Amino acid sequence: MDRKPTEYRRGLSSFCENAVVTPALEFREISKRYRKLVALDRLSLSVNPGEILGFVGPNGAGKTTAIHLALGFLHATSGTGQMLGHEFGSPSSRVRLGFLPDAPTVFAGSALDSALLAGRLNGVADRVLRESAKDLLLSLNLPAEGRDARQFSRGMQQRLGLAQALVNDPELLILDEPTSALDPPGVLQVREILRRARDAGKSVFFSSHQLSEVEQLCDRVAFLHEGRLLRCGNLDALMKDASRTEVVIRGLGSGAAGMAPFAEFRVMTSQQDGEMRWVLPAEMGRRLIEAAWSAGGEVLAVAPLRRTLEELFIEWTSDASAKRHP
Amino acid sequence: MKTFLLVRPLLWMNRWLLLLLLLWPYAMATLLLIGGLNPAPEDVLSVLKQECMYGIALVGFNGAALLANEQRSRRIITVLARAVSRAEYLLALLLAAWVPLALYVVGFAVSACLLVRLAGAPLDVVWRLVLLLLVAGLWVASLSICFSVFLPSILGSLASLGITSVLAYFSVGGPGRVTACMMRMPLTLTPPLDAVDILLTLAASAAVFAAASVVFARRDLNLSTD
Repeated sequence: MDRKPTEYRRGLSSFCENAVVTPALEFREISKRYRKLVALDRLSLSVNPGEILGFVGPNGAGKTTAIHLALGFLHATSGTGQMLGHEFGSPSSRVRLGFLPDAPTVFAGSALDSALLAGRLNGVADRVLRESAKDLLLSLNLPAEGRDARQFSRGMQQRLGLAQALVNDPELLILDEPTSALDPPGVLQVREILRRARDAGKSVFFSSHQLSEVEQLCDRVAFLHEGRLLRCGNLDALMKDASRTEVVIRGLGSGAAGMAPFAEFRVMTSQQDGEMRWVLPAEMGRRLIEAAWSAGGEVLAVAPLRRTLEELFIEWTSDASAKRHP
Repeated sequence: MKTFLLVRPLLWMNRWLLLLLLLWPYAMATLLLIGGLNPAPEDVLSVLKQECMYGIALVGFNGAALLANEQRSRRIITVLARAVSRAEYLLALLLAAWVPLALYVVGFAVSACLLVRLAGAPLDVVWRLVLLLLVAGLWVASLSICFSVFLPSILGSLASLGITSVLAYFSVGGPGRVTACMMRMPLTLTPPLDAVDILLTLAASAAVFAAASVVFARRDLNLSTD
């Protein structure tokens, strides 16, 4: 049974294709309103076992609201949700949950005291808890005893929060900006922890502003904007859908009549010295080239454009803003 | 069990205040004894009643502030993200409000015994005050925790202490009669202590706490989100 993580994931994927998988976390048409403000608008989203789902959105998008609804800190205005087989808000749903808030806070006492309290509140037996908590703190480079955890730096408190989240060997990890206060070695360490969790078949749901982080880690990404889910899916597929091709053409007739065959390719990026440059969805590139040839034009360059998640994020959010606030 | 796990860190956060409270009755006794080692029984009784009043006020202010403090510091997130129900959490707050009174009562009982002995009054007055103080304290703790669920802490404490004062002034219901009995107790110990009033106060405290739990479970936590 000592399989490599990749084999495990392949096995898990094939199992998932053939079986009805119960999501570790599922939002069903869930909304949250504060008087006139819609913080979350009919969010439907699920996190499957053995996957890392990145939850991305600008400030005020509703990411933390969604997380707080799942944890039962807030009550939904409409819609429901389940976490680890229990309704949102039920204490049973949190028994095998690890949660790291965006700004972890601790009670007075050592790091070990904090980790022990977190484990005990989740019903972890004392005989295993003490040793595992010490090991965990050691692996996160935190002093187990001898210093009040409230005096830790923000980065240390974030690592302590992570230790608290992991101390009960959770099935589902919900992390709100897990690397926001960490130094580069800390970020790498968190990344490694999350990969190991996924390889062990656990689910990870994390919100982040750091899109490079999301790009490197996540199996799927959900984009949230003004409380609405803009896009959700496999990162490669989303990138492919959003891919663009740059086409440069020379020798097309000028004026309305000359440009008539190109009406469907409305947005031309630039025109200079008789060269016309288009940046358009990949599937339209071929049609444009055919139209250019038919019109006697000369195709000077065709280049696929590699776009970053940041660019997509900005494009999607500005598109959504334009639609909602024309 | 989880409730007791939570009470310890909540109390530990206020350990210096608790130490001060433990010493407060001795300070009051010392002040009284500065005037002479044979205080008048009426003076002793007056000091003891004042101490009872401070104890009740302590519970009222502490109880009403606990939930707001935990929400403001966001420590509540650390706790409620674990397998802890809202009712268990609220019970931990109730105990965290009442246990300081119990510790205060230790100092109160020791210093009161000394004073009553020196004044030549019956020791029974001390035990009765201790019992009434603990029971009335539980009532005020429940009430202040209940108000803290939906009122700012200062209003919650004023409301809980105000309601208790009005009930005591008119000697209404178990809590009113228990508090009135405590504040008006004569050295002669008449009228005798009514066990029914004590039971009624305990039942009223439980009812108020149950109502607070139901309301708290249905409310959003007061946390700032992104």
